[in-house]
Amino acid sequence: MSPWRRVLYILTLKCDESARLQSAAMDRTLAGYERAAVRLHLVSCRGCKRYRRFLLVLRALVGELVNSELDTQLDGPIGHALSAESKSRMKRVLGRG
Amino acid sequence: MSSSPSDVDPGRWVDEHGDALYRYAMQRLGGVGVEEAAEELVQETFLAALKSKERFEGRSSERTWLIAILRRKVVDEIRRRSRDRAGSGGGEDAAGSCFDRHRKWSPLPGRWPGGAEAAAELPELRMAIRACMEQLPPGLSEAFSLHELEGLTGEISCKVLGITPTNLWSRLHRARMRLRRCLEASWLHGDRSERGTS
Repeated sequence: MSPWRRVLYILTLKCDESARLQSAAMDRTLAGYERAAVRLHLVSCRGCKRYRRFLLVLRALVGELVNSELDTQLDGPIGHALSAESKSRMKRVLGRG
Repeated sequence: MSSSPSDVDPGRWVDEHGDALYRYAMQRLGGVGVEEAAEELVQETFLAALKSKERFEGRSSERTWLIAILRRKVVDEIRRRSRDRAGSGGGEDAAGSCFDRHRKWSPLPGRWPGGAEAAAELPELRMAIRACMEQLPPGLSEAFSLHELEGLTGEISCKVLGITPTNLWSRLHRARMRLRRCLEASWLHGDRSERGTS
């Protein structure tokens, strides 16, 4: 991208592209002009600020979910469970194994 | 919870860990229409554990050991499913419908609580996000699961799914957009406001 196009990109970033870049920033390092475009856009965009907040909440939430998985979460009373029939079948198979 | 190889009892494994492993597999595979596959993976996990029980040294809990075996099987299953669906693009694009014709948010994203407020409602949030993750289309769910839940790097996630980094980022973006809408509908504007906390 030419320097002029980069400047144009920074000045004219729209919410859909800003959201895409903010999401990408969770997974990779943005290029300098991409970071600049998002920062400038965030100054005046309430929706994108809220989306950024959501992404942070989501990441924290997923991290918390993963950390809690090995203990009580997977034993919770609500959620999927093997049927009694499936458990019996597994026990039979494991008994042969 | 911990045990030595000598007191291995596969029947007890099924009773003590079966449901937990099943939930793990269901969540990682996407949750809808994957019951049979998840059950199969749990059984394969127990069989693999039985074969390799000598290698279980008791340094971790039995549950952790079984989950580690299941994790590898889940990744293999996702790889296989992704290959079967090669070229599908990972599910339809819902991100576009969040913006108007001027490419601005429509409607605006909700106001998400942070810090102590969110922490206080963590159990409900956990349930809501689990339910929303299960509603993701398979291609998006697999990308999100590998990258965010399993913590695989972008490079390895791409290899497992057989896709390019650009495609992975796109899937992750679409997954997050869908999760946002789902969580806002089910939690931020749903049960939560009914409880008078919004």
